[in-house]
Amino acid sequence: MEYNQNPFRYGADFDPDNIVGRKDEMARVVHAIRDGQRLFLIGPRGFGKTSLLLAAQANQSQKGAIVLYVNAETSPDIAKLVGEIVAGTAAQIYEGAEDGIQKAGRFFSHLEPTFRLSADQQAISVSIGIDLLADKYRQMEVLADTLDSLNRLAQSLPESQPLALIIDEFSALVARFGVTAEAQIRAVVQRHRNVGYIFAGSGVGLMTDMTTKYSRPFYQSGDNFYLRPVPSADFVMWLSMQFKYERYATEESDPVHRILSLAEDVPYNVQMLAHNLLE
Amino acid sequence: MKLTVDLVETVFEQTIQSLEPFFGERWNRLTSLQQKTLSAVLHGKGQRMRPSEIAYSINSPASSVRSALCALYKRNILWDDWNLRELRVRAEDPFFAQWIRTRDKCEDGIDHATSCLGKKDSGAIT
Repeated sequence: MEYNQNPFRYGADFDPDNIVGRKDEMARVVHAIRDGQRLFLIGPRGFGKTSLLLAAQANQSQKGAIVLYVNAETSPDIAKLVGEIVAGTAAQIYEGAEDGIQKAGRFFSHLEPTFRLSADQQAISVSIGIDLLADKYRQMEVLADTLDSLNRLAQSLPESQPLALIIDEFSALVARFGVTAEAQIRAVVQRHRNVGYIFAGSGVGLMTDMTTKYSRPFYQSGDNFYLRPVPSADFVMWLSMQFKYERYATEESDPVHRILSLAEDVPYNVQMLAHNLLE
Repeated sequence: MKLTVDLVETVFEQTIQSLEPFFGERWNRLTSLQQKTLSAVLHGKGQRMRPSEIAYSINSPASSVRSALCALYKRNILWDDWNLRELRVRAEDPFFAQWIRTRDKCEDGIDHATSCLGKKDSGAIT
């Protein structure tokens, strides 16, 4: 029996081809990656921040850039976050896992990393050897050292190979470690000219305060970019095409407009409703 | 198969019903004042009401309403949307917002004849 996969996906599903109406946003993220800029990508949950960032990562990795993606919300502690940065570097920096491990191991030797390769030799995971049971300040110091190592690594790369770090749900990190953490990260990041940093967060108020209040360390330290709902015209065209492809008759655009109005143009909700229509 | 507005609305109702346990839990985690404040904001259709106006509409002290609003922003339930230079308060999850509106309608006993999900009123905040 033939099984057609539902073209509408939401939640954990990610499909870089399903990025709709985000051409300008994609260009903005790509520019930050290639040009070593600091970008604060701000938008509520469900607006497609993570999909956009992962699509930009996939797109730029194909073009030779090293784009590391970590999520501060799903990494419960700094050791895991730092481990993911090191593992991502090893996976992307050189041809072949063994080579990558050896070379990344040199740049991050102060972390005493232990590398593990998955059974299929494709995925790399890293645990760090230094003690992180210390206070929050010490934990942030380790993260700051890691970022310094990334900058040194970026300096050693050819100009055609930019390096960028995306920290998704950055607001979770700030909420957990407080303003002192902001100051520590800012102090390191502002010295780096060779690494592009994208700090993304769904806490709109928290991210806005962090970057626009004079008293906060990240005040005016990068560009703020607010993710808006997807423009309706782009969504209408894409949805109509998908429904037609699924052999749904859509002579009028009213039902598609109704989907968008009920979901208030929020990509996650649009995808969920459209997905359920095909189930 | 034909895609119609009726079909979209039926599936929308089913979607919100299927999320009921999740929304119920989310709702129950809010304090009573946060619940009242959120309802007042959502019924305001996105017009930014001042805490004093909300306080008046739900008969509570303005300072308490201000704290409740702060908590709703902090929990990422509400956010300020500056669109076309006009500020709107939006619910981060429009389906959760619709579930609350429906719930309030059902509790008030309004609109039971048509549907508790209020087909004719999408309830979009903006």
